[in-house]
Amino acid sequence: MTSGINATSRQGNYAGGISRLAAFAADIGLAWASLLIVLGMVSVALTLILSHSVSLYHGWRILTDVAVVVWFFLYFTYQWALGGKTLGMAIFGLRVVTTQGAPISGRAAIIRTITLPLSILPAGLGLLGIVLRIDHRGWHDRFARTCVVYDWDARAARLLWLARQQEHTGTHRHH
Amino acid sequence: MSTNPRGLDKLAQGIAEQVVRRVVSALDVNALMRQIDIDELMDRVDLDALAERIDVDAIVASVDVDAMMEAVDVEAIVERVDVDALVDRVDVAKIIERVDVQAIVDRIDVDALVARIDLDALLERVSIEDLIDRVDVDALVSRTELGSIIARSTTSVLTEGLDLIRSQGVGLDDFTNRWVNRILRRKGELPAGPPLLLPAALAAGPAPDEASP
Repeated sequence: MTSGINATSRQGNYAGGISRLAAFAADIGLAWASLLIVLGMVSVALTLILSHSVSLYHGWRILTDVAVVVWFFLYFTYQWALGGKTLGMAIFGLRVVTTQGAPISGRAAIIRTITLPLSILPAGLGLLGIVLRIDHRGWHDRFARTCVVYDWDARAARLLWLARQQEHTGTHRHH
Repeated sequence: MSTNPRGLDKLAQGIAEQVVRRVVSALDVNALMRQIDIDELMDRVDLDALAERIDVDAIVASVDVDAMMEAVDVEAIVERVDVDALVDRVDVAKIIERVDVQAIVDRIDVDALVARIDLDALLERVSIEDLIDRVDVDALVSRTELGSIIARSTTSVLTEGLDLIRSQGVGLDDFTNRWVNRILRRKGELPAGPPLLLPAALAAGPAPDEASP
């Protein structure tokens, strides 16, 4: 996969599996962290209201499981529908777009979130397409008719990096 | 008859005095003056020779200036002076042009001047709060490089970190893609991205090593 014109800028190119996996891992971590903070705050509030210790993880297991599912659903759907990227994807410079490259709709965001577990649960079989396909699309991408692209200008980043290096070298020479 | 010379002289003197007295009393001075041609008389006077014989220094030395000044009523003179008219006739710009300001400044002993200033009293009269209120801090920061330094230092650390993370990800993606394409025996131009985001000419992706800074 080579290109002469767009050699350094990856903006708009299909994103590879490693970046997507890293972004997904970051999202899981962030979603869990935010969920634990919210659940902890709810536990404290309930303890104060009911005047006895309340543990949502043990006594309210079913409710907590439902809250986890709802929370993860909202975390991904809301962010994909809003800007085509989650926090983890923003860190790694990724964005979800339609197969044509347009911003995704709310409907596509919902379908993508619901079908994401279908890609993961059968031993990750649905994720193989991300690695093997040319357009790096998993099952959930195909269900929602979406794909993931790089959303950052690597060429600009490279130029910035070179400029900083030059500035740094110049400063050292100056001293 | 014997003659006494001294008696004759005395007689002659007495006669002459009588004659002169009678002549002078009979003389009409005004009529005489009318007969005198003043112009002709003045023409015959050698004024230069006369001026040379005048001792000006002696005349000046004999003048009592103090007595003369005491006699002058300065107040009355000043009252009669039209100061406005006098000032109107003065070309102030011309006077200022002739003033050597630098020479005046050079003659000023700044240290001595500053030493005479009571800084505490001066500062007590300054309202610091009013002074600070009048300072446009935003404009000040924008005029200095402080704002840009703060912005650059903050953003550069963040962007450098993000660029590093992203570059590492892209590098690993390229590495994986290369091996997958080799295993699956993919050759030729492959689509690099969705058509709306990339021009048709950009069918293929970038060279693997060029994205990482």
